[in-house]
Amino acid sequence: MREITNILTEDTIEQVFRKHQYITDRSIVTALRLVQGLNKPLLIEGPAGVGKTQVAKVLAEVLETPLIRLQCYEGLDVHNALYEWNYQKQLLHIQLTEKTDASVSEREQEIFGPDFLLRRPLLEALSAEEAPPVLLIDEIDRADEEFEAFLLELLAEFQITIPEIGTILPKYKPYVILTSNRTRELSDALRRRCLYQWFPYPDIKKETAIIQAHLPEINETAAEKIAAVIIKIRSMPLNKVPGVAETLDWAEALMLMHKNEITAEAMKETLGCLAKDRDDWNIIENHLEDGGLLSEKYLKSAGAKEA
Amino acid sequence: MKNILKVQGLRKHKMETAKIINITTLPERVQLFARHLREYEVAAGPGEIILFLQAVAETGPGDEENFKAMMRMIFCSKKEELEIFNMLYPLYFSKSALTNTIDRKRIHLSSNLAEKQSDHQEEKNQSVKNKSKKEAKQTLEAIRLATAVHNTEKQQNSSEREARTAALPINQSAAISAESDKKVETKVWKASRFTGNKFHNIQVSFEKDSLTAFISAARIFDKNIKIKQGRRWKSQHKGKRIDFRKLMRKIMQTGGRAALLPKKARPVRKTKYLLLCDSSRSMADFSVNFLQFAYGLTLTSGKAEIFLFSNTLKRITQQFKNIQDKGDPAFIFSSEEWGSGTRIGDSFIKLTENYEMMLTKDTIVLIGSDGLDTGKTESLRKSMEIFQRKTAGVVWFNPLLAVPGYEPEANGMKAALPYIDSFLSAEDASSYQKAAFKIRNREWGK
Repeated sequence: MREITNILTEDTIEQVFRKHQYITDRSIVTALRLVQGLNKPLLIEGPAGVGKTQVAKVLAEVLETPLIRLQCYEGLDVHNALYEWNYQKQLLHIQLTEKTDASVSEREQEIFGPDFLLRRPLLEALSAEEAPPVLLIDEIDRADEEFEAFLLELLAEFQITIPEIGTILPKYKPYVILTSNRTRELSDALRRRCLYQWFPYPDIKKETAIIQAHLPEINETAAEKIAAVIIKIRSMPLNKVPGVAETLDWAEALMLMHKNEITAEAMKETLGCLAKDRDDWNIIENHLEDGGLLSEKYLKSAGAKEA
Repeated sequence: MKNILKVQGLRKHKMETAKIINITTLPERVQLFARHLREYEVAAGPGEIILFLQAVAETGPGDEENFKAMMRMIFCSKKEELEIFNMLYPLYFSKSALTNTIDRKRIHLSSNLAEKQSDHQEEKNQSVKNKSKKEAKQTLEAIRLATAVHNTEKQQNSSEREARTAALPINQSAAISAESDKKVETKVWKASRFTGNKFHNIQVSFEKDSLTAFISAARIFDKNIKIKQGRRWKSQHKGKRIDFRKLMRKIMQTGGRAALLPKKARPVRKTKYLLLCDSSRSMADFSVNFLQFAYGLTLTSGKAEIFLFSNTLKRITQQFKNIQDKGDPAFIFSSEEWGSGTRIGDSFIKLTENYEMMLTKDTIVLIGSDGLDTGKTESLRKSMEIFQRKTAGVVWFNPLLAVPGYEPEANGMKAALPYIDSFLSAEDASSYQKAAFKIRNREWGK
């Protein structure tokens, strides 16, 4: 295993991430530092749209290393995640070598070599030649329990065994980041192999900073008001609670249409950025019509609650 | 079982206390902290301690915030553990805990607590030994007078009694059995009251006949509950139809030589149960029955999550799954978890925050409670609304419904009623069976 040279220090992580429009806090910085220092996978849990996936993306950008992403889903199996044999190429090779003098065992050995191997994300991550890549195993809670069990060897030993080839050891251990929305409970075995980080919805201060980082032309008051409204909306009984991505979409839409003004009228016009469900739409609209949602008193209470 | 072992280890713990007082080095402090976390079922083992010390060596301790974050992400592996971590951390690593000698005593809270428990335990043992037959008779009488006859305590042999003296119902039977061989029935919550010590554990065990009846009721209940099935066909190993789309893809990959026929079927959605058992003082009799029913569902369906709620919320699914003797299950709860007040809304809100992944469209929420909430009614309303929205249905078992003339007028019950799909009475095993027949024709789910 080779030494890694481009390890970020804690002071630089925050600054560099900010440059990439990602606002971190101390716990995220520490987590990323430990991922690099201890070479342990990091499991990030939290509601949808709080920036779990984005951490991995920005980390890869910052380290100037490839991001290898494995999107998990129900029914995901080893062949889709690790490797597969290229049957077409193997068949073609068999047909082409039929009339040669090579023995059957020689031909068999040839078709089960690295040339006929289709590398899927996990194997790709272990085969990096130049620098440790960032391996993002996204929404692990969507994968089946069997797949979760299969991942244990990779997460603990950073190695994979292919029966026809043998054990593959990486030149560089990848930085592994797993994300989960908690749609099902993950096994204790998987949790034990990872560092753990919980991402809540950002507080008003952080959300304001995020809006400003993504939309530098927005004024601070408007950004604060948007963040306060969003926090208030998140406290409503919605089916789909708006995440940071929705906040940014909404802020952008408001900027595009109404500059820095947030009125009830403007909010109604742009509600589609926040409400992704008919019932949610009605709930937010009712609060808007009651005159509560945009009132100073209402928003101050949201801010105070946050504080 | 874990709690019993903890009690057995108390004396040893006490002997260690003298040594512990002088400990100030970081590894030892971390070790103590991890031990304290383990008492709250956080899996902070030697591996985590070593990893943390490695992390400190690798990155340096940094400032206070950094140090805490580092420790939190190594020792915690679930959201619900963060709360425990934040509660215990200041006892060991706050500035005052690290410098002040008085606070050093606080650091060893668990040890002191253990010492207290151990002292108390020894006193108890002594008193049990010295009890004359007359005293035993008086105790028996007191229990009989104080409690309604509901839960049968299993007779324990004397050696078991000595080992488990912290579990009070067994203590009682120790005193009682000296005089009589009859089975003594006690309300379990009363047991906790006798101790006057909140650190005591309470053992809950079931009568064999009653348990069999509840298991059978649970089986019938599970059989009659049907979750709405999807109509979509999905690729599966053992399907009824050939998955032609997948077959075509395979053929293209293998040059027309697909070895296996891919199949598809409609995936079967299995019912999951979320059982919430009111373990407050007023519900002691009912809770024992509800737990038996929950145990039956665990055996039958295998997809049941069980929680106790009173002043706090406690997940007990693992205790149900780890039972050694399936025919004679026994559970040990602390008096905080069993027999305290009722803050239904607050407990439910905690559930929706920490265990939201259990609220799925295949889940039926079964609540066993009288609905007498001493907390905020708004919290109960809000949490019930979430249950109703996110799960296949909500069934509320209320023992008071069997009382003639009962009207759900209590604030808690009133707030919850609009979100309940079935409001049923549940006194004994047969009423759970009847409940199953009442809701059998309904297709649960959205």
